[in-house]
Amino acid sequence: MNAATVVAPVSAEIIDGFKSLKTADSDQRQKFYDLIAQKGDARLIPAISAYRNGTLLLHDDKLAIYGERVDLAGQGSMLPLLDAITGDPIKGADGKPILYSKIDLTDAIKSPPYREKRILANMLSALSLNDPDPQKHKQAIRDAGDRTDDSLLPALKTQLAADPNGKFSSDIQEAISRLELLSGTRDEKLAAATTLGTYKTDRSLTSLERARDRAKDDPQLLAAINSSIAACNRYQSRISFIQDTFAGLSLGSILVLLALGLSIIFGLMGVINMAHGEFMMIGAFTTYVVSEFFRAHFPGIYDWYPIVAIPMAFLIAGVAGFICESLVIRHLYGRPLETLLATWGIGMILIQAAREKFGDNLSVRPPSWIEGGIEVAPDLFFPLNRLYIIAFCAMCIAMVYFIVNRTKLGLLLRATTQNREMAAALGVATRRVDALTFAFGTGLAGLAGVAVPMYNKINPSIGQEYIVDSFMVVVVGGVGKLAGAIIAGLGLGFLNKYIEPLLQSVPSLASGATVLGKVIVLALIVLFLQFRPAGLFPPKGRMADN
Amino acid sequence: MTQTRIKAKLEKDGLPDLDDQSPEAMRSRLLFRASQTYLARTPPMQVIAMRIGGIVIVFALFFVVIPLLTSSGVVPYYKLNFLGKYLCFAIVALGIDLIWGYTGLLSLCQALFFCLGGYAMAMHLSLKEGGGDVRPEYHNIPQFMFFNNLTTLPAFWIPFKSFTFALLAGIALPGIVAGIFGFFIFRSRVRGVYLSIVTQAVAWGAWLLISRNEMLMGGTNGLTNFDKTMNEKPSWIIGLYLLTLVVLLASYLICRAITRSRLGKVLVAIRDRETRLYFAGYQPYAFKVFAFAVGAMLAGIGGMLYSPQVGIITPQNMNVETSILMVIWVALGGRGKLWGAIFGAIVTNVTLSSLSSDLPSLWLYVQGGMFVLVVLLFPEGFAGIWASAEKQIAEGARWGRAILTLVPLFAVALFVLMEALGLTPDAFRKVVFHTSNVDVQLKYVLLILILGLAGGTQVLLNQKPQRKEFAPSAAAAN
Repeated sequence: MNAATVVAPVSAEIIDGFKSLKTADSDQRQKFYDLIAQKGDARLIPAISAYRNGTLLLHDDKLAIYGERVDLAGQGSMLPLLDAITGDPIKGADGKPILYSKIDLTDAIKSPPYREKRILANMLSALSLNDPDPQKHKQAIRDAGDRTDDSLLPALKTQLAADPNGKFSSDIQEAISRLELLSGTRDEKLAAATTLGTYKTDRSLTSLERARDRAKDDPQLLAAINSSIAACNRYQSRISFIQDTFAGLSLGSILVLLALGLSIIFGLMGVINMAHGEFMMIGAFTTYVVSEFFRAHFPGIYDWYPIVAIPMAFLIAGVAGFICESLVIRHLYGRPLETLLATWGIGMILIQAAREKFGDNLSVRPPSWIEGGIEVAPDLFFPLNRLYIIAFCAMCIAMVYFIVNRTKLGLLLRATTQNREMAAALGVATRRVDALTFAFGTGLAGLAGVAVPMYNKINPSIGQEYIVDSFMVVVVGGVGKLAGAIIAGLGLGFLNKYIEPLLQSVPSLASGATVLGKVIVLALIVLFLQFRPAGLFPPKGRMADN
Repeated sequence: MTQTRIKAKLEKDGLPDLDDQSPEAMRSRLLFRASQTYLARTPPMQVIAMRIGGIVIVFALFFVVIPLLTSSGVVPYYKLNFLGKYLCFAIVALGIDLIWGYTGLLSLCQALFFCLGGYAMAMHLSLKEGGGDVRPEYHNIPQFMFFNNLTTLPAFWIPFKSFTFALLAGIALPGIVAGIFGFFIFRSRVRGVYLSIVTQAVAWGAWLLISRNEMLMGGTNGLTNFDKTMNEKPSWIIGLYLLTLVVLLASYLICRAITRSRLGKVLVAIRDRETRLYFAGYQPYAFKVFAFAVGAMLAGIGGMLYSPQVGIITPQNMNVETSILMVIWVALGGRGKLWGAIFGAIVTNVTLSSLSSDLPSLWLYVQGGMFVLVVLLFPEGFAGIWASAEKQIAEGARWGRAILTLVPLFAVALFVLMEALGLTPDAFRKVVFHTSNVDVQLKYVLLILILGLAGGTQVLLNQKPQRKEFAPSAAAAN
C-alpha cells in the first residue's frame, strides 16, 4: 500500500456511492462494487462489512455504524454511533456523542442479496490484505490461505513481489503455497507440498491433510505430502509439549505462591489455614475494586492500576489475616485440628460476605500491556498474561526468600520455627512473631489473588479451586520448607498440564480429561506418600521426632 | 503420708492397724482398698438415676411420643420424614465420633462413605421404582439413563437389582474403600492435619469423579424419583423412621461396646500419645484402619437409610463442605461422648434447616460462625454440660444446682424438638409471649440467648479453658 492513499481522504465518489446504495438497483450496485475493487482501501472495511450485515446507517446524511458497547456511569451499557469511514464518534447538536441503548435499524441501508454478499466477502478479504494495522494484515494473509478458491492468489503474489523480504513475506509465501497446493498445476502442487513441510504450522497441516485426500492417484505427490505431514506432526507435538510446560509453569507459580504462605504458617504454628484460599479471594477482589476505581476516576492511567493493586492486595489480605490470628487462631495454639475447623468457618463467612457485596463472575479488565502474546516460533504462542504471572510470582518468591533469610523478622521466624521454647527463653516475642508471620502468609495469598484475575473471571469461591492443590503442594513439599514448596508446586503444575493432554488423546476419556487428570494426580500423591511420608524435604534431627 | 495419718485413717475406716501383719488383717486392708477403687470408678447412685431418667425420657419421646403425635395428625408426616433424615446423620456422627473423638483422626471424607451407602441403596431403588419412561425399551432402566442415550443397563448396575446385594454393598463398600485407603495412609504414618488434608483431597477427587456423566451414576443431578412407594404410603414414613431409630440404637450399642473394650482403650491411647503406644509394642496403624473402616461403614449405613427417606441423592451430598459440616455436628454435641455426637447431629441439622428457610441470607454466616465459636468457646460441646452436672452431683452438690447447670442443655433440646416437629411458632407465641405475632427474628434472638447461656455456663464451669502452649510434641499428639 503506498503512502498517498493513507493520507488522502476517502474520495467523495465512493462516499456518494455508499449513500446511493439506499436506492440503487442491482446494476448500479455492481458498478459501485467495481469502483471499490479499483479504488478502495482498508479504511472501507467497517463500512462494507456493516453494509453486508445490514447495519450501515444513513444518519443525517452521514454514513454511520454502531461502535462496541461501553459501560457508562448512570446510563448503563450504551452503543455509541461512529462515523463509518473515520471511526470517530458522531456528535449530536449539543456537541455530545450520540448514544443508543439498543440497535435501531430504521435508518439502515438494506443489506444486499445473498449472491452479492459473497462478492462483498471476497472484496473484504482482498481489502483487508492491505490493512495498515500489522496484526489485522497478518490475520488477513492467514485467512486468505484458508480459502478454498484461489481468487486472492494474484493479490498475494503482487504483495510478495512488491516486498520479497518484508516482515509478512513468509506468511504470504505460506498462504500462496497453501492455495497452490489445492488449486495449482501439478508442478506447483509438488513444490507447495515440499514448501509447506518447512513451515510446519497447524495451518499448513490442515491444507496438507486436505490435499492428501485429493492426491490419491498421484504417488509422487502423495509421498511429498506425506513426508511434509510427518514433519508437521513432529513439530506440532514438540510445540504442544513446550506449551504444556509453559501452562504448567504459570499454574505452578500461582500454586507456589499460595503454598509458600501455607507452608510457612504450618511450619511455625502447626496450623493449617483452611481459609487461605479466601485470603487469595480477598486479594482478587481488592484488585477488582482498585481497577474499578481507576476506571471511574483515572481512566487515562488505567494501565498502571497494578502498581496500586499489588501493595493494596498484600496489605488488605495481610491485615485480614492479622485480625483472624488475634481473634481466633491465637486462642487455639496446640490444637491444630480445631484450628482447621475454625479457619474453615472463617473461610465460609468470608465467601458469603464477598458474595453479598460483589456477586459472582466479575471480570477485571487487564491492563492493555498484558493483552496478546509473543509468537516465538511458528504456532508457538506465549500469552503475555501468563508470562507476567510467572515473572510476578518469581519476584514474590524472591521477596519471600529475602525476607525469610535476610531480615530480622525472618531470623526470628526461623528461630521460633526451630525451637519455640528456646526462642522464647532468649527473648523472642513468639506471639508477635506468630501474628506477623500469619499476616505475611495471608498477604502472600493476597498477592496470588492479584495474578488470578489476569486470566480468569473471579468469584467469591475462587479460593476453593486452588486450595486443595496448594494443600497437596505443602504435603508433597514437606513442612515449612521453602524449596520443597517451590519444587512441589511447579512439579504439580507440570504434572497436571502434562497428564491432561495425554488423557485427551484417548477418545473415550477425552471429555472428562480435566477431572480424571486431577484424580490421577491425587492418586499419585497418595502413592508418593508411601515412600516419602514427610514430603520431599522431611525435617531432620530433633524436629523429626514427632 | 505420715505414719500417724495412716493410723488415723485406718482407725476411721475400722480396719486393723498396720502393726497387725497377720494374713487376715492384710487381706481385709487390701480388699478395702480394692473396693474403694471400684467405688471411685462406679458413679454414685444419684448420677445413675440421672442417666436412667435421661434415657427413659429420650426413649419414650422418640419411640412412642413422636410416632403417636404423627399418626394422630398433630405433627405432619414430612416433619417425621425430616427427623428420620437427621437420625441417619446421627448414625454418621457416631462413626465420626469413633474416628475423631476417640481415635483423634480428623477425617474429612465421611460424606464420601455416606454417599457410597446412599448411592448403593438409591441404585437398587431406582431399578425397582425408577423405570422412567413409557417406551418399552427404556422401561427397565433409571430415568437419567435415557437422557444419556443409554438403552441397556451398564454391567455394574445389574447386581444392584438384588436387595441383599445392595444392602451388603452399602455396608461393605465404604468399609473396603476406607480399609484400603486407610491402610496406605496410616501405614505411611500420615497423621494430624496431614491426614485431614489428604482425606479432604480424596473427598474432592471422588466428588469430581461422581459429578461426571461418564460414571453412569446420574452426574450432577444424582439419582432421583425412586421414592414412589414412600410418597404414597405414610406408613412407610413411620416404618422407615422407626427402622432408622433401631439402627441408630444398634450402632450406638456397637460403638459403646468398642469404646469400653480394651480396643477402645488403645484407640484413646492413639489419640492421646501415639508414640508411647509404639514403645509399648503396639502397631497403631492396624487400630486406626479398624476405627476408620468402622466409622466408614456407619456412614454407609446412614447413607443407605437416608436415600429412601429423602428420595434424592446427588454429588452435593458428598462434597468437601458436607464432610466438614459433619465434623462440626460432633464438635457441637461433644467429642468423645457417643450420645453427644447423636445430639449434635440432630441439633445442628434442625437449627440449620430452620435457619436456611427463615433467614436465607444469614444462615451461611451462622454456619461459618458456628465453626469458629464452637471450637473457640465450646470445646466440650453439649455433652460437656451434662458431664459438669454429673460431676457436681457426684461431688455432693444439691440437685437444684445441677438442674441449673442443665438448663441450657434442656432449653436447646426443647427448642430443637419443637422446631423439628413444627410446633415452635405456636408454642412460643402462646407460652412465652402470650401473643400471636412473633417475628422469626425474635425466635432466633431467643435461641442465641440460650446458646450464649450454654456457652457461658461452660466457660464458667471450666474456669481454665485449655490453652496449651504450642510444642512440636503437642502437635504430634493431635
